[in-house]
Amino acid sequence: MDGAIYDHPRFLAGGGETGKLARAHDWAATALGPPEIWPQELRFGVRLIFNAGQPMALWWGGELTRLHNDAFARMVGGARAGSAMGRRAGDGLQDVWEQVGSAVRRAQTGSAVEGGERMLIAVRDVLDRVTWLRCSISPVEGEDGRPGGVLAIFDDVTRQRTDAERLRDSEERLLELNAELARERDAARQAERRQALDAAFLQELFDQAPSYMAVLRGPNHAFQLVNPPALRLLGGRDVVGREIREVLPELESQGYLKLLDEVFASGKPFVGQGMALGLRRPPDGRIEERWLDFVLQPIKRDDAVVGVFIEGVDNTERRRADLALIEHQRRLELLNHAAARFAGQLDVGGLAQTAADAGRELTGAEVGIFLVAGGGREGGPLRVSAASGVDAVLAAELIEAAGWTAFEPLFRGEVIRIDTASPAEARRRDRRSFLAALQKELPVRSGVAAPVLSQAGRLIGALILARPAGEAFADVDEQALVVLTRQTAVAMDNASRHHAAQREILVRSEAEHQLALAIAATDLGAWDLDLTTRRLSASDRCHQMFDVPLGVEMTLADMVEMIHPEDREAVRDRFRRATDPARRDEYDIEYRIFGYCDGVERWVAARGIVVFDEEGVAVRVTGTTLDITARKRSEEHLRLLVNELNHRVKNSLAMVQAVAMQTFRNARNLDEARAAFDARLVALAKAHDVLTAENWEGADLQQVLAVVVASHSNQQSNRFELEGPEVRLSPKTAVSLSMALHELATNAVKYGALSGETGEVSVSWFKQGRRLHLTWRESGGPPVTPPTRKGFGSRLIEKGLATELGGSARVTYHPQGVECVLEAPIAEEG
Amino acid sequence: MDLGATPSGALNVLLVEDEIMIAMLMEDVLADMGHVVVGVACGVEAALEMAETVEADLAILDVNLDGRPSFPVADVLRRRGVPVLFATGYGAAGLDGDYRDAVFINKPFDSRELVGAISLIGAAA
Repeated sequence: MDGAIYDHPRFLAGGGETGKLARAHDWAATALGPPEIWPQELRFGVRLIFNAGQPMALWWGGELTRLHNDAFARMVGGARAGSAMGRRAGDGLQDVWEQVGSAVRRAQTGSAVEGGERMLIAVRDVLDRVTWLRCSISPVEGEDGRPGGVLAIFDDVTRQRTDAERLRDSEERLLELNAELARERDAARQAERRQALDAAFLQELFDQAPSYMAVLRGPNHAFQLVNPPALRLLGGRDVVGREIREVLPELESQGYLKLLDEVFASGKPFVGQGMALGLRRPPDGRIEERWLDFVLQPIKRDDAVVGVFIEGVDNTERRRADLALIEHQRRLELLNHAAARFAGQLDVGGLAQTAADAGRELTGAEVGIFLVAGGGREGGPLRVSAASGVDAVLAAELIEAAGWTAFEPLFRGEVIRIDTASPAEARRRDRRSFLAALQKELPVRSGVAAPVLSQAGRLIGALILARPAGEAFADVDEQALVVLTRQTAVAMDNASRHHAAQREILVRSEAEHQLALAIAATDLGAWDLDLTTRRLSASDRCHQMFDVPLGVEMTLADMVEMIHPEDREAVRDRFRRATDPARRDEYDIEYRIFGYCDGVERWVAARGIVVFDEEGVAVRVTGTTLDITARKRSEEHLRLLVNELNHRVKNSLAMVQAVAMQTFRNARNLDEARAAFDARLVALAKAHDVLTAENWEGADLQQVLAVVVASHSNQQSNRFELEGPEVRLSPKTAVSLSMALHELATNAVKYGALSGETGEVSVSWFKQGRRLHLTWRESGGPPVTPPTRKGFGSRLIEKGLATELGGSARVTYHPQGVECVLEAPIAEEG
Repeated sequence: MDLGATPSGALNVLLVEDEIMIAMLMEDVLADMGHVVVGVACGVEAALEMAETVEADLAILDVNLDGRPSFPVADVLRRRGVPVLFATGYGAAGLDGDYRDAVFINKPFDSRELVGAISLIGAAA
């Protein structure tokens, strides 16, 4: 299941050269196994360190298998790091492991202090250069909630360290200088006793000393000697010959003048370390805080104090560096803390809140607002997802008021930083109006906004920080924010994949459940098409339907090949519309296929559900297919039946039309014609009755004759004599023959054998090969005279019937009785 | 019933109709119009045979000959340059393929319709 969501290259993507090494590594041979089975926490860890600009290493699993990032590799020397990738702890990079190993093990076993451990370690590169690293080691939760691995974040403090070392060196030099000075002082005393003070030498010493030095004379502490470092410290003020109270009045309130008085009065030296001294700085007269180490040494002459010698070093820069280091460390800890909080969170809203809170903590901003991108790739609207230090509703109003153009740089992946106090910004206020909008409701001094970009570079959100007053955001704040947004992006990517996976599981399990039910209840075949691999898996019933042997894999191309060419385009079109993210039409279509093996045409009805990923790309189609051939056949049969019925009705009407016209056009009078018409219509209907009884498949000659006999022998006893074998007639012949016999019988009743009391009609027939011979012979009636003109009956028989049957028919008017001889081919039995 | 002669004069007509009574009716109506029925065929085979040899100015073909279409007969007649008029109980739906737009009369037919159809074919020929 995971494989479909986390492809090996996707979470191992990026990471520079080290990332390449990691992807090339034979993980299957390690305790971690192939990346496909790595737990989500480890995947997250990998993304975290690959995305970080800071050196990081991750040890994972029981064997503490090592992973690290590009920055780490550069830090320890690429080649050494490369060979340690994917190996167990301590195997390679032994120097690092010797220093951090025990802390890593403590973190792994869960016995580490909360929040991890911090330490300073040193590594040497191939050129034997030392890099000092501040290292923060903390456990990372694994699948079971216990530590699955250990994350180490390194911070190169070599520069700060060497600054400190340099400082210590200069302190040592100063101490030497002081000793020398003391020695000189002793010598000076001796010289004084000899009245020979070499002031010029002292002055030179003063001038060349790297520390600040000054000599104050008298109880009011007038500057007598001041060396260049001391002058620089005092901001170049003209102090020589003037009292300290006069030139540095700001020291009065800080207690330093009192201190000088005490030293002067007591004759005891004073040593101060890390003393804060506020000095007024020209030209703006601001008080600047300096941190100083100094010695106040009373100058004695003949056991009486005549002045105070001041000597010391300015530690302000070192102290600032220390403070910066502390702040940097604090931020790292906060980031690390945020990363830990992100790791456990899969809810986007929660992640947004964590990011907004962490952003404020990191930079000391009063307001943090997290926006999520709600629209498509091209910069849809952003909406407030979390607010910190400000009411969320107010935040939403502010963002809306700012308008989207204010956030445009975010969509290009750029950071926005604005200081409203700067004159340049005041001019730009119109263009970048988001702060202007903020200022309507909040007194914003400075703001910074950074985009949260997905791995694919898509804007998924943005974090905005604002300060109502105080300092404007600095580069370090922006850097911290960028690192935080990167962490947020990884966490959000992770969360959205997790949700997509959950959704897919849900959709799939639901669909599978429904399919299982449907398959159990019906004759449905189930199939599943993976659009990324274009592979099709189909149930046994599907295979049966398409006549594909079990075990033969069906591809999409095979499927298309099986579709009837006339239906192919319709299927393609429907499929395209169903998988088009803009349409998402239902996939529901009936089409014809030819069996894979048997080539037999079948009708199938297919339905499918298309699954789209979070980017709106159709990734799979799951569906069912039903064999509807039988239904289609019966529909076709019904259609034919209706057509046939229509044809018969129309044909019958045409027959009635023909009978009517024939009857009336030859009529001598209307009554006679009407009677003849009635009789003919009844004969026609009775012939139809016979056929209907036989389901219009044909009729027996005997049946046809029986109807004619019944119609023309009402009151008398039967005067017909019928003799012949069974002969099967086609429906049409049955109708035509019925009508012809009706005409003969009617004629017999009116004028022939049946008109009197005694006449008889004999009908006999026989088959000779495939030919039928039938004879109608009347006898015992009045003498017959041929009619002057041929009526409908004889015409029907001699011309019509002969033509229709493809044989011959003749009516002969013998004086003793009418005779009709018929000879025609007949269809074969069966 | 006297419909009189057609303006185009007497035509020799081949009649293909599987119902003999309808054929007889047609024969009478055509005779009333002054035309001469030169042949009557009821089945496809007989009609095909006749179509090859008959000398006719017009053929009237029932579309359905006992369940079989009469289009092969029309093909022969068309090849021989004999104009064809179809008779059908299905209306226009009874015609398909090459004969989708052919002239036809409905069954049961109206004599005036028959007159109109014949003159239409005469005009087209």
